[in-house]
Amino acid sequence: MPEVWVILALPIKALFYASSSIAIGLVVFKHMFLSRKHSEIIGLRKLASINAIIATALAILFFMIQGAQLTGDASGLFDFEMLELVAQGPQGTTFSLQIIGLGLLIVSLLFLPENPIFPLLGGVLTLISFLWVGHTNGIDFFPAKPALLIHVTVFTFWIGALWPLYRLLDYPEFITEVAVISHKFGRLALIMVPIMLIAGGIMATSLLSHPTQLFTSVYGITLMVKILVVSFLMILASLNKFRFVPALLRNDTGSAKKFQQSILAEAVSFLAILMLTAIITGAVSLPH
Amino acid sequence: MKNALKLLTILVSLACWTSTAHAHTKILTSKPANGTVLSLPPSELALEFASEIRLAKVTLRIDDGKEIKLDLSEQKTFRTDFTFPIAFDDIGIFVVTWRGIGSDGHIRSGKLQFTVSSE
Repeated sequence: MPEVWVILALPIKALFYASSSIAIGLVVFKHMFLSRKHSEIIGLRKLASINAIIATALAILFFMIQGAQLTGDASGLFDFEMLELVAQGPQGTTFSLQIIGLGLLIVSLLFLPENPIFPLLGGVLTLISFLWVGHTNGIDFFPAKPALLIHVTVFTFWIGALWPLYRLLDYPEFITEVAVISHKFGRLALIMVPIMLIAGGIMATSLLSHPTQLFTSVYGITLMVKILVVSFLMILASLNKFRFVPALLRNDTGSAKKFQQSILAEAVSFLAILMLTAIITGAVSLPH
Repeated sequence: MKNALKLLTILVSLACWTSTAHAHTKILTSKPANGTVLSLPPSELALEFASEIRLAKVTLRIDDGKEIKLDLSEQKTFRTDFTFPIAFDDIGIFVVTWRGIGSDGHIRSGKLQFTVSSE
């Protein structure tokens, strides 16, 4: 049974994944698909800033919890010697990259909202921070790390689309524009999502030495649950791409509500995936 | 924009390359070994790990008594072997708990126990 500090770290990690990917994803989606008018109406800048600030706070909290994991009690949260020890290792590199990346994102959102370079750079720094930690860090198979990066990048891109599309569907005057944006996004997703799945497959095969470990180890079973949720997400994405978006393009405004419900289900699936990822990377050892 | 993308590609490739680390740390052997029954108290405790670790805290408890923190001041580096002098005459169940950070950044902890019996 993992101890309290390991368990406490899991929702913090999952919420960090969620808030940071929403912040980065929103900015990417804005610069790729939205007009200034769309962004202002749905309060995109404010939402991205809040998420980036929450992510920064969670990164600090997660870092401090590792101090507590080292001492085994709450004193480690503020134990400078323990925190210094964490900072000297790969977690220190990850933490530094996240703070710099999210800091850059927050500053650019507040002061340079129309500049795509600085927030993009901030986003990249935050995403590459994951390369220093996690199970792929312990294996020699080189493609595992680029695969991880592709995996989290596409995931971030996808999660960033949910809120803008959901909110814009509340405005009947924008439904045709949402249909066009969703259609463009869907065309891109048709290329990017299979790449994300292949990248996930590369990571799984490099971490598991035999397919039977998917059914015989805690790590494998947790991964299988994640794959199941991803499969559900794929069904939702297919419904959006082949049913709801074409209906919206035909001016069938009645499908807007169904599209919103599907987006909501996607958001819940993403949260489940993030929690499972936090468990896989933080509380479950690789099978030997 | 193209130059920015090139720069990002280089940055990302470098990150993939430089972030390489090692496998998870686990204890390989200890002296006294886990579960051993000894007739005399040991004069030292030796821990050997499968890969490098920096220990943050090692404690020893005898018969559910007070926890004694072992001195790590001379062993504050990443290494695989650690030795601690022990100066106890007690008999009973000794529980050693260790916590540390592996060179892969993962925080690891574990415990082992041995018994000193006069019988």
